[in-house]
Amino acid sequence: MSLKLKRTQSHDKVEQQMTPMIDVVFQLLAFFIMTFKIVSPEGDFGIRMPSAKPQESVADVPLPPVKIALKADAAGKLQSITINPGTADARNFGTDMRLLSNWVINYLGSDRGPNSLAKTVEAELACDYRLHYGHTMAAVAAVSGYLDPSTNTPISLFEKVKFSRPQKRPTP
Amino acid sequence: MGIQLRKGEMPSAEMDMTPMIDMVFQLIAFFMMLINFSQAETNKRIELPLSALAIPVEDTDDHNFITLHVDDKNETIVMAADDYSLTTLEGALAKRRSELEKDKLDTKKTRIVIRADRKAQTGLVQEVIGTCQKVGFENFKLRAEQDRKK
Repeated sequence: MSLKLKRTQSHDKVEQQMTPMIDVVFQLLAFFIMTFKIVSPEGDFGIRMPSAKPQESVADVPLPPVKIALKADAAGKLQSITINPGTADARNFGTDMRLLSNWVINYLGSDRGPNSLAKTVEAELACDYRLHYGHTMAAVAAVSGYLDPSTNTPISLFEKVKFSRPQKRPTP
Repeated sequence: MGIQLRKGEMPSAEMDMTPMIDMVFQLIAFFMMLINFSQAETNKRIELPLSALAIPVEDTDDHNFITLHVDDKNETIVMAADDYSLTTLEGALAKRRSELEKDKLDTKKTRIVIRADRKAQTGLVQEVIGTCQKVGFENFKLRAEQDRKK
């Protein structure tokens, strides 16, 4: 009663149907290619903001902050960058952020120790309400650090950057 | 001298599919690895300011942050895919803060990541920061896109 197979039957190939699998695989491939996006890397700048409540630690700050006033025209374009406006040390850099960065580099010097100007003095940005945020961020970057041209590594400048109190919303 | 075939016998030209399937699976694996689901956090309406100093933030398991997208065109602030105005944002932030406190996270250390359009009015961004301060948040991060040209 043993099952006898014919010689020809025992060598029959069991062919797998590849077409559905390839269909699904190509669908998956198409999906991932369509949804794939090259994303530009993003980074953060830390900002110290004065609290709405009166601060107790103001007396701990030994030196007054370096004020940087950014003025804008009605369209929000940068018109002028002024360091310490209204004082004898006031300096106007026009709209050149590199001049601002160079001034900060000279002001802070090379000392980055715990009691250095870079660690103890704050940079305070006073921006016009309408100023485009891109210019504000360029100023934040200019006072926060710069890229060393030879090594292309970031060198930090002011460690404490803050905004002054916001201006009132302009009437349209 | 030609090859003679018997009647009814056709030459079988079977293509070897294995290398192609290998390659296709490699491609699928590649795209799956690189697909960035954190893109759900970003907002297509917003063009971030560019900065060469914007060093990419490393991914951490720390969930103690809130991302706010400031869209200047419509004066809307997007938080967790919901749109808010400056007036409605305060209540939403207070709710979010209580959720973070329930998760036993220190809200004094909560990072408020601000992703604002490069053409947004700075005053509007400052108002958003002021609203966060009213709720009790103190730690702010201004996000920029890395400028690779410089």
